[in-house]
Order: sequence, then structure tokens, then C-alpha cells
Amino acid sequence: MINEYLHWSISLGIWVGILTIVAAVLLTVWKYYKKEILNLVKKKPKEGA
Amino acid sequence: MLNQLAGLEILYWTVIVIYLAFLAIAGWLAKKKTKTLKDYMVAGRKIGPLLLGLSFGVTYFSAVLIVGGGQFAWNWGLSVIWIATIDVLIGVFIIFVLFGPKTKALGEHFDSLTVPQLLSKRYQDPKIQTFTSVVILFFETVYLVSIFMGLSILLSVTFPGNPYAYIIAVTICAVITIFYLNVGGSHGAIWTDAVESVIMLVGVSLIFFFALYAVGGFDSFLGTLGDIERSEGLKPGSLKVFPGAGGFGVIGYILVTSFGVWGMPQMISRFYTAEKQKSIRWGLVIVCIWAFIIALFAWFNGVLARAYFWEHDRSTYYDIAAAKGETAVPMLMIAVLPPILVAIFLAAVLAASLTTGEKVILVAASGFSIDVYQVKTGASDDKALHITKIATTVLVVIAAILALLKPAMVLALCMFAWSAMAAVILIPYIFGLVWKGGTKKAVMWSGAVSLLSAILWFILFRPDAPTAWGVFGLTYPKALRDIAALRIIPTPWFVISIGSIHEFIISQLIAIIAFPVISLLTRGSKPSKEFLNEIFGVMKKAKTEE
Repeated sequence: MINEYLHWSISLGIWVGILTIVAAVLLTVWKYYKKEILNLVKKKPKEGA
Repeated sequence: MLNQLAGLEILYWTVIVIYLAFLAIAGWLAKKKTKTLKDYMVAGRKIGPLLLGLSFGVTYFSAVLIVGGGQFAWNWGLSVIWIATIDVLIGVFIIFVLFGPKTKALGEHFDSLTVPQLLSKRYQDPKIQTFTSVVILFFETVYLVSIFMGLSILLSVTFPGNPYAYIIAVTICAVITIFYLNVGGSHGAIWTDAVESVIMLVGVSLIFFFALYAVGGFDSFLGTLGDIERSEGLKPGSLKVFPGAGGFGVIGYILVTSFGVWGMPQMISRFYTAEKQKSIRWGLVIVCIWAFIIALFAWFNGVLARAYFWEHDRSTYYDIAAAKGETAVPMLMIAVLPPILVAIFLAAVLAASLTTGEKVILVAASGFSIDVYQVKTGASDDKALHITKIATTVLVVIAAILALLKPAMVLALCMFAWSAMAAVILIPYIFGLVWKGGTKKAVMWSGAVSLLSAILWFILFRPDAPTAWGVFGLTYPKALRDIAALRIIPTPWFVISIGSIHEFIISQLIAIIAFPVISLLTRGSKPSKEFLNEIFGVMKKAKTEE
């Protein structure tokens, strides 16, 4: 792993960049697929309940 | 040996000519889509996420990153990784999330094609358009010269012994750019950006992997950096930690290259080309991934070059060190890549300069034709399009001549162009999107004060100040040199001297204080409440738009 090779300050720099990409993907997916995700997560209420 | 060199030259030129011919054809094909001024300037506002993201990336990172970045990386070591990271975080992520959607919505609402147009309509004063466009026209032309001149280093390394390579390259670049911009405009530029982005990504990654293999992997690479530190009497770890050998220079450079994007008209106007709000969001994902990989590898390459030549070719190492690392990445490219890949990458870097240059010219030319000429004469869009095309030709010719003559003053000004444009645009642009209180007087006065402070700081204290004084036949006073060397914050890790603070930081600090203060003092010149509610409504709607 890259952490074994680089000093923490440098590997932290790379991680901040990677997390920025992850944040960009998550934010975009959440914005446009919010309903679908919530439907997947939530159980549908039982009929008559 | 001579035959081999000549053979390589032929190979390089062949690939370059094929590549540039492709650019010209792309421009010609884009002609069909380019009928109106809007098509020409903002690609008819019809660009999807993929092209938007890649076009933003290529405009941001050009040959300046690949060649110039390598120079900083050579001197500063691995701390430059942080430049790549923060550029992606602030220069890409934040501008796309916070300001991109609003910029597109306002650009559409005002039907503006240029950044000065957007500012003047937002603050309701045509004078703002003239003021900002004059600054843009002047400094974008200077910036264009620096882009052309960036090629000279690359070509001097790849074509050693051919003194005409630079002249030929600048002439070809100028001719292709003129042809290309006269037929294709934004449409052509965006399509070639996409191809460009792929070649740049592949090229930079190949250099990285080939070089890493050549230095024997990460372990051995870090070991070599340690050897260099010991042999050259550097502090242990200074090439391997943040901020290390770079000190405050790295932090200043991070701020300039990341926040600077927020004030560059050629970057802001990318959002005008987006087809929908959705294009901006998905464009963000694409540009984040592309930009991080390319910036990370491009910065790494400069450090890898230092380790590679230290291990394999000590005399070249000392040559590069004597040139302060300027030739690090081009030399590494030739050393580790097979000739055909060198040729392709060379063509790509050449074209990277062209594609960034095209947008810079478009912005500068429209600064004259739309923001000054059309405003003053009330000319039709067709007439403005015609004038824009003439202006692009004139500007390219001026820039090419300046690039060939390399006058000392232009060289010094190149470093300054970004700070100057950001001084008049950044704060009014950002405040205009988020705060209702800004006034037209604040735009003009804070812009003027900020620009003046940038100029003064540059000619009084910065390392290029002696050159600026020399142009006027003056000697840089010793008293100023002493002040510039004054250390204001001595920390255990690095020292901050007056001269090490970039004029960008000073001028932006002044603007960020001056703009709200002047706005509050001149509340009377604020646009009407109805108008402000209307445009903030437009921006709010953009945020929720699916």
C-alpha cells in the first residue's frame, strides 16, 4: 500500500484528493437518484397499516 | 548518431503535423454547427457533461502544468502532491458545486456570452463591462504569449541543435489557431479538447509508470530522494514531506493555482456552454477524476525526474539543476519513453498549449468585440461575430510576434497575468452570486484598488521586480531588496518573507475587505430590490433544477 511508502503528510495529500472524487460522485448520485436510493433503503409500508 | 537524431526529428515533426492537421479538420467540421455569435462564443449552450468536464480540465491544466509544474516538483519534492489535491478540491470541486450552477443560470438569464457582460448586468452598470474587458484583453494577450513561450523549453529539449524548431512551431501554432478560430469557434475547441484530454492523460500516466519502473519502484525512489537530501545538504525528509523544501512557496502556489481559477474568465465561461444543470453535476465527476489523475502524475513526474537522473545520468542531473529544473519533465520524457510515444506526447503538449490558447484568445477577442465595440456602437450580433474573428487574428499575430521576440517585460508580466485578471473579477463574481449587498461602485473601486495593489506588490517586492525595473533602465533599490527579504513569520518548518508572498494573495485580501466595505458605504448604487429578488430567484431555482 502507498501508506507504507510515503510519509503521512504526502499520503494524506493523496487521500484528500481521492475523497474529493468520492464526494463528487456521492453528491451527484444523491442529487439525481435520491428517490431511488430512499426507496431501496426504506421498506414499503404494509398494506392497510 | 546524426542519422538517428535526424530520423527522430522527422518522426516528431510527422506526428506533430498529423496532429495539428486533425485540429484543423475538427475546426472545419465544427463550422457547420457555428452559425450565430452564440454558437461561436458558447457553443450554442449545448454541451453535455463529458465534453464540459474534459474541456474544463484541459483549459485548467495545459503544458504549463506538464512542463512548468515539473520544474517546481524538481525543486520542492513530494510536497507538490498537495498542489494537485487542493487544485482539484478548490479549483474544480468547489467551483462546480457552489458557483457553476448559478453561473449557468445567470448567464442564460442575462443571455451573456462573456464574463464582463455577466458582471455588468449583475451590477447594472455598462462601465463595468468596459473596465473588466480592457484588463482581460491586455492580460489574456500576455498570458497567450506565455503559453506560446512554454513551448520553447519543450522544443529546445526535443530538438537540440535545431534553432529554428521554436520559430517553426510558433508559426505553425499561430496559423492553425487563426484558421481554427475563424471557422470553428467554441464548438471546434470543445471537440478537440476531448481528444486532447485523452492523449494528455495517457501521456502523463505513461511517463509516470515508465519512470517509476526505471527508478526501481516506490521504495527505491524514496531511498534515492533520501540520498539526494544527504548529498546536497538538505534537511532530512525535505523532499518527502509537506511543505518540505518548498516552504511557504508551496502554500502560496497552492492558493494561486486553486483560487485563481475562480477569477479566470476562460474557466468561468465554461459553465455558459453547459446544456443543462445536470451537465454541470456529471461534468464535475468527470473532471474531478481526470484532473486528479493528471495533476497527481504530472507533479510526481518532476520529482521522479530528479531521482531518475540522480541514479542514471549524473551529468544530465547537474544540467537540469543548473536550469533550476526547467527541463526536468521533457528530459525525463525522452529518457524513459520509446520515440513514437515521445512524438505523440510532444504533439499533445503542443496542442494542449493551443487549446488553452484558443480559449484565452476567444475571451480576449470578445473582450474587445462584444464588451467594447458592440456596447459602444450597438452593432448587430453578426457584425460582432465578424469583428471577433478579425480580433482573434490580430491577437494571435501580436502574441506570436511577442513570443518570438521574447521581450523581458512580457516575460515578467506573464507571471503576473493571472493575478491581474483575478484582481478585477474574482471577488465581484463570487460576491455577486452569493450576496445581495454588492454595488457597482464597489466593483469598480475594489477592482481598481486590488489591481493597483497587485501591481505595486509585484514591482516592489517580488522576485521578478528587478526585471520590471530593468525594463525602464532603472536599478532595483537595495532598500526594497532588504524589505523583500524581511522574515515576517519564522516558524520551525518554514519562513515567510515579504517577497515570498504572492501578489495574488495580497490583492485578493485587499479585494475581499474593500468590496463589502465600499458596498456598505455606497448602498445607494445597489441594484433595485425587485431586480435582486428576481436574479436570486433564478439562481435558487437552478439549485433545485433536476
